[in-house]
Amino acid sequence: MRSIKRFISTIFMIEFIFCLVTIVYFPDKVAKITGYRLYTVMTDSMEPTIPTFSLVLTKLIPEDVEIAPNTIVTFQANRFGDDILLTHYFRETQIGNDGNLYYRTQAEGKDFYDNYETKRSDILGTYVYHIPFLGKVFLFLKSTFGFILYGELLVIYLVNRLIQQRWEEKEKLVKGTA
Amino acid sequence: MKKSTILSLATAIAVVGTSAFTFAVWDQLDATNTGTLSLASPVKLSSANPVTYTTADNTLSTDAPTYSSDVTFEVNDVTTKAITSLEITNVKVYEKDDTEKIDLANDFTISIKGATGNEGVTQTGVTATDSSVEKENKYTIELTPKDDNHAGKDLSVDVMAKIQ
Repeated sequence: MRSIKRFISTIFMIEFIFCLVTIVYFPDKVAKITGYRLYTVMTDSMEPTIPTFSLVLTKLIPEDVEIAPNTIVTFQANRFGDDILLTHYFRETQIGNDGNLYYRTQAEGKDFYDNYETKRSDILGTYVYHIPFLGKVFLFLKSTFGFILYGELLVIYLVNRLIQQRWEEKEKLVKGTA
Repeated sequence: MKKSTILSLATAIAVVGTSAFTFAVWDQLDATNTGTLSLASPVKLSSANPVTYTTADNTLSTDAPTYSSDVTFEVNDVTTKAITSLEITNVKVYEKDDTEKIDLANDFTISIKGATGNEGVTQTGVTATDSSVEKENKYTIELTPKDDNHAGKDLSVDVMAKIQ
């Protein structure tokens, strides 16, 4: 009975670690399979609705799906030459001077739209849910210090196993001599 | 308490403690310092209205008269920057109507002196250095024609200065 419990807990532990590693390090693959992607909010542009360092769950939507105004969307943008991802409100569509259809986005509490020329193809998905602060933990796990932590946890695990093995050996010796 | 329970507790405490400590160290690496920046006005060097060079020498003589004027340069908006010197970089003489401003300075003996109360001006050629810069810096520029090539003409004199 004890060995079955241990087996089940090991299976659960392996599964948990596998899920965590996949979500943290291979978010694109998870998104392909599940249709959802996790993002970390790095700025206060959506506060107080979405606090900085929240982990946002976004539902990926195909390009042909219409988006209702005032929906919070995650979209790609180019800021000073850098491709970034943002999660802002989609307010309305406008026809630009070049005749293209642009999706105007807006940050929380601002009375003006973003300057980004967002096309429908730039919008990746719609906001589903967020967990405050958890994004920072994800950032930490991806950082060099995250890898240091894995090493530390491995050492703790090995020390634990070593002590347990010593105890088992002692018990066997005691039983053998008795 | 069983020793296996103690080991489990110790392991849990080690895991939580190590994670919290490592996270705290990582978080400390990502600090932000917000400061206040007040932009100062640029230092301005300016000169007063155009001056007129005159001579007090009305006596009949074979020596050419010396024409002089005081020129003032004002240094404004100096706050924290230390200004070490004001340099008269050039004195240019040209015919008043000459749009090309062909320099005739070689036809004159030019003297640059600190006006009364402005000591410490050293002249080298047609340049001079004032090592004690105040808000108002007054110089006496004297021009003596070397010959009568420009007699009867109206000339303009540009005195250029820069601060260092």
